[in-house]
Amino acid sequence: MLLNRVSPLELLGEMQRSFSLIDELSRAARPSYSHSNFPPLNGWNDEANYYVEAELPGFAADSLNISLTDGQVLTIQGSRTIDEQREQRKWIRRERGFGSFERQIMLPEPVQEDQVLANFKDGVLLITLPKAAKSQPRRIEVAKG
Amino acid sequence: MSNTTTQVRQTQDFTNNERSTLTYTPRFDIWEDETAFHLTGDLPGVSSEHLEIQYKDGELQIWGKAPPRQDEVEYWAQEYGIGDYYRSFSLDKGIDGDRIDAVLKDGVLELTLPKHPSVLPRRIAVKSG
Repeated sequence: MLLNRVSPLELLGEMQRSFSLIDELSRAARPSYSHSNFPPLNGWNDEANYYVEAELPGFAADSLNISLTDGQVLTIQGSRTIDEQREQRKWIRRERGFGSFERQIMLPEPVQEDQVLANFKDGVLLITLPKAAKSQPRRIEVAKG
Repeated sequence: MSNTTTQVRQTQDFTNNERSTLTYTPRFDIWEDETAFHLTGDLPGVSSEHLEIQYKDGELQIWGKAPPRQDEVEYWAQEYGIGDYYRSFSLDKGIDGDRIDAVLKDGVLELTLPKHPSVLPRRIAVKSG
């Protein structure tokens, strides 16, 4: 019988292949990189300050823009470029991303906008936001550290 | 483009128990030009005194220690953990291990692994006669 030529093992393989195709299609429809979750942020506070820390390896301090709106909405922008122009470059593996990002977060409480500090060291950005209650947008300079 | 058989292969070692239990695998780009392989990795929070790179028998191992964080802190947002970084790469013959160069800047590690002269294409001069 012709049917017998297909072994159960082959059928199983066929099934697995179709499942992995479904997997692939659903992944394609739902991009794994979203602007909203880059950079990853950690936030904590003590009595005096809120602290927001972001992992930004390879970003130049002067490419980072930090601003505060209504004393409570923190916006971080920046970009990282990867030199594509180098001659004779042959990629073997690419895991690191490049391009620009913008991320906004709402702080738990309003802060003192005029006393916000930002420090960038070893690819980690630490923003110190003294607790208060005020409102005025203000641009914060990033200090190289 | 290269006619050598040199290859960089990524391996991961989960058996290294000496390191902290919180170990992250940093992301790396790998590219090649005529004379060397280049590895670029993201190691945010690591400074050069807390970075250790070893090359032995074709195995390149990279450890990075991120500064310890105060444990008492209560996070209202925690999207990444603080711990050590570890990654290893298996490099087959053809790398000149003595001339590996490493530069760390702003949390990015740039490694240059020169190809061994014996695997580089040799240009043959043609004599006219």
